[in-house]
Amino acid sequence: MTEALIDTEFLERLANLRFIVRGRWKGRLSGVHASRRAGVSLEFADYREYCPGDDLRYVDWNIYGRLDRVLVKSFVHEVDLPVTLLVDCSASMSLGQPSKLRYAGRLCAALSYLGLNGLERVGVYPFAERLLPGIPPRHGMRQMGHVLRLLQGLSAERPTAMDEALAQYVAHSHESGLVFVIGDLLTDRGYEEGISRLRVRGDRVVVVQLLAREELDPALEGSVRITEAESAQHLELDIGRRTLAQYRQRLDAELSRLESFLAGLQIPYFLVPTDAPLEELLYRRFRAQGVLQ
Amino acid sequence: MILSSPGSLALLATAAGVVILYFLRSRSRRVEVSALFLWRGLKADSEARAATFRERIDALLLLQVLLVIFLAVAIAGPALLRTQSRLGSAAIVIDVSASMRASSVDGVRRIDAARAEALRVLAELGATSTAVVAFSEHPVVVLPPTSEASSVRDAIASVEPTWEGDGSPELLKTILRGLERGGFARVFVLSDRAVGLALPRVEQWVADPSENLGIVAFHVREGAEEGTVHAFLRVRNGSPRQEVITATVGDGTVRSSVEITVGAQEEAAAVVRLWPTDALAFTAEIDVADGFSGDDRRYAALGRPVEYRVLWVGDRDRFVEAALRADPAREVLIEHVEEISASSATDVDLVIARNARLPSTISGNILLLHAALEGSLALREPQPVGAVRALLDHPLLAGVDVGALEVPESPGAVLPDGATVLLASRGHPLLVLWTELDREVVALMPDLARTNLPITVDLPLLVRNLLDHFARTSAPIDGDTETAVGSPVDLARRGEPLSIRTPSGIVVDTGRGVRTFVPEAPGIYAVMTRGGTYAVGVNVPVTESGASPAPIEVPPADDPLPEATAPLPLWGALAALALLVLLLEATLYHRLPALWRRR
Repeated sequence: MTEALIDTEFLERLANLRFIVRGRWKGRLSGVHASRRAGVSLEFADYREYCPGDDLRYVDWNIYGRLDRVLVKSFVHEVDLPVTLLVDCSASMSLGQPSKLRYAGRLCAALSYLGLNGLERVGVYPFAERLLPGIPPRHGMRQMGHVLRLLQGLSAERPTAMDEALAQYVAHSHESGLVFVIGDLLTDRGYEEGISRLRVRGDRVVVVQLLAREELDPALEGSVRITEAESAQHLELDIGRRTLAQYRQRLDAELSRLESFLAGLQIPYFLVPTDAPLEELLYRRFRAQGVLQ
Repeated sequence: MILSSPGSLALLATAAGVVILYFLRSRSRRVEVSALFLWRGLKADSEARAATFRERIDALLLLQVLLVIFLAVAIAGPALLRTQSRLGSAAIVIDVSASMRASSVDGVRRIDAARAEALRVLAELGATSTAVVAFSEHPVVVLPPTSEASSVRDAIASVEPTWEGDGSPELLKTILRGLERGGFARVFVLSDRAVGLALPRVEQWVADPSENLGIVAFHVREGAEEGTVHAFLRVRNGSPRQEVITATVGDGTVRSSVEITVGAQEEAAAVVRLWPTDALAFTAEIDVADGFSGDDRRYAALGRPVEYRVLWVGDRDRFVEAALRADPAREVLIEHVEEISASSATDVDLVIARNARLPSTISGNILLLHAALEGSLALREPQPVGAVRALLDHPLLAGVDVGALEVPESPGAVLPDGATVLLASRGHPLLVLWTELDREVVALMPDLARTNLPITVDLPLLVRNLLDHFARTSAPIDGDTETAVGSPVDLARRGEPLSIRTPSGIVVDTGRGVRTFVPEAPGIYAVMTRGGTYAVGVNVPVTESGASPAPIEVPPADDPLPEATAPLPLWGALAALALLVLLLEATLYHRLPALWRRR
C-alpha cells in the first residue's frame, strides 16, 4: 500500500454520518449512545422505588404528592461505542484490482474516521491465521493517525483461520462493541464459530465480504492452472462456459450459506465487489441497513 | 531456382521438433484464486478443451515454424538463375601496343583516332553499361562495366599506348571470346590490326595504316680483328615507293653509317663494321621521317670479356698471378715493375705491391701484399702469431676457409684511421681494408711465402673476391643480349643482380631473390651484378614495325554460346525475413501476456 489510503475530501464528505446502535448499549465510558444501565443524562428512562442511598435529587416529588409513593426517576445512561475493525490480512486479500486488502484499508479508514468523528473509540485489529497486533479502541483524532499507519503497513501474505483469530479477539478484548469483520470470507476452514463467539459476547457485528470482480465473474477460458493464494495448492482445469457456470453456481451457494448464517444471527451482511465505489457502500448500503445514519 | 547445398534442407525437419516442443510445453495460463475449493471438482467440458487447442495454435508457433523454414532454406543457399539481360552493355577494347603510337598519313596518332572512335561509340550507346579494356602484351581492364558515361570517357582518355607488342593472336581471341561469353551485347575492338570477325557481336575499327620505315633487326658481334664489331641490320620500307635509308651504328664513341636502298614494301639488310670499339652496347639508327619512330632506333648489347690491367710492384708471386689470370670475368693483363716512383703514372685498374713500399701519390686501387703505403700503412718487425680469426663477415672472405690458414708470423703495423680489420691473430691484424681519397686499399700483412695460403684453394677465391671488391667491371655474358619490351629478361644465370639502370638513367635496386625483370621501354639497360655489369638492348617488338600486321582470325565458338546466366543469391533475403520473423515473434511474446490479461 504505497498510495494514500484515503483523501481528505472524501473524509470530509463523511462528516455527517455516524454509527447507529439499536437498543440499549452497555458501554463503559460516557458517550452519546444509550446504555442499558441507568445513568445521568437528559433522556428519561423509568421510575423505580426509592432505595436508601439514592440521590434525593432524582425523587419525583410530583408522583409522591399524587400517589404517595416515593419513586426515583432514572435516566438513560449514555455511553460511548467502541468500534473495532477486524481486517482480514490473509494472502487471498491480495487479489483483485484494486486488491481486496486495499479496499478493506480504505473502508477501515473511512469507518475509523466516522467513529472518531462521532466521539467513539475506534480500534483496528488485523487477523489472518491468528489475531495480529493491532490498535485497541481509543478516542480522539490522534487515533486516526495510528489507524492509518497500521492500515498502510498491512500486507496480505498469511493463511486464514477466522475461527481461531476471532476467538483470540474475543479473549483479548474485554468489552463488547460494534465490530466490523472485513474480509473475503472465502475459506473452507470455517468462520461460523468465530462470528458466533462475537455475537454471543454481545458485540454488534457487521460483516463486510470483499470479493474481486474476477472472483464473482471470472473470465477464464482454455487451459488454466489455478493456484490458491494462501496454500499455493493448484489444479489444472480446462475452463469453458459450462465450467464457469458450475463455478458461479458453487460460489452462489457459498455466499447464500454465509448470508443465511449471518441472517440467523441478525448480523448485517454486505457483499462488496472491490470495483464498487466506497461511497455507495457507506452512503447507500450502510445507511439502508441501519449501520450508519 | 538452384540450391548450392540442398542437403541443408534436412534442417526443415527441425520444424517438426519445434512443433512437438511447443505442444509439450505447458501452455496453461496461471490464475491465482482465493479459494481453491470453489474450483476443485469442476468438470472440464469438451468446448473448453477445443478452446485450449485453438489457443495453442497461436501466432508464436506459426512464426517459429516460419523462422525455421526460412533459416533452413537460407542455409541451403538458394539462388535464382536469371538470364543476363545485358543487351545494352558493351565492351570497348583498345589496342595499346607500341604501333598505336604511329601517326597516319594525315598526322593523327592511331591512339588518338582510336580514342575518338571509342567516344563516338560511347555516344551511340547512350547510358548503357560499358567496360573499357586495353590490351597489348597483356590485357588490362581499365574500367569494369559501368553506366556512368563520364567514368567511361575518363577511362578512354586515360588509355596510353605502351612500348609493348600486340601480344599473341591467341590472347586477343581469348579476350574477345571471353567478352562475348560474358554477356556483352556489343564488343568494339579498336586496333591497328585487323581481326577476322567471325563473332557476331564483335565489331572492329582498324586504324589507318602509316608509311613506316623501320629497323626490323639489329645484331652485333665481334669481328675477327681485335676491337672490331660487326653490326647486322635489316630495314623495312613500308611506303609505296623505293627509299634510300641511311643507317648509323655507334657505341657512343665510334659510329659508322651505311646507305641502304629498299624497294616499296620491301626489306633490305646491311652489315656495318665498327672499329675500334670495346663497348658493350650499340645503337642503330635510321634518319627517316615516318609515322612511327619507335623502330627508327634499335639497341644491341655485346657480351665480351674485359681487360683488367694490373701493375705489379716488387717481388712477383706466381700463385697470385695465376689466380688473377684464372678469373673468368676478366682478362687480366699484368705489368711488372721493381719499384715505382712518386711521379710515375699509374693508369691501371689495380696496383699490387709485394714486399715493397708504395708512394702515397699513386692513384687507383691498391692491394698490399706484405707491403707498405706511405702515409697510411707502415710495417714493423714480424711477430709470432697463431690461429687466424675472422672478425667480420665480409664479402672479401666469401668462400674462404679462415680456419685452415696457417700464419706463423706477421709484421706489426700502424693502421690508418677508419681501417677495417677482417682477419687477425693474437691482436695482430692480418687482412685490413680502408678507403682513402677515391681508392680502395686492401692490405694482407703477412708474407705470402711464409703462409700456406698460396697452396690452398682459398687463394683464388680470395683473389676473385679482391677483384670484385676493387671494381665492378663489365661482365661477359652469354645468351641473348637483346630482347623486346614486355618480354621478361632472365637475370638468374648472370649472377646475383644488384641493380638495374634504365635508359632514362634511373637506378632501380632489384632486391634479393629477383630473377627477372620486364622492361617497359626500349633502350640499353645496364644490369649490375656482383660479378660485374652487363648491358641488355631492349627494342620495340618487331611485330610493331609492320605496316599491316597479319590479321587475327577469330573463329566462332564450336559450341553455341550459352545464354549468359547468373545466379541471384537469395539467402540474404531469406535471412532478413528470418530476422524479421524473429523480431515479430519477440514483440508478440512480450505483448501476449498483456493480451491475455485483457481477455
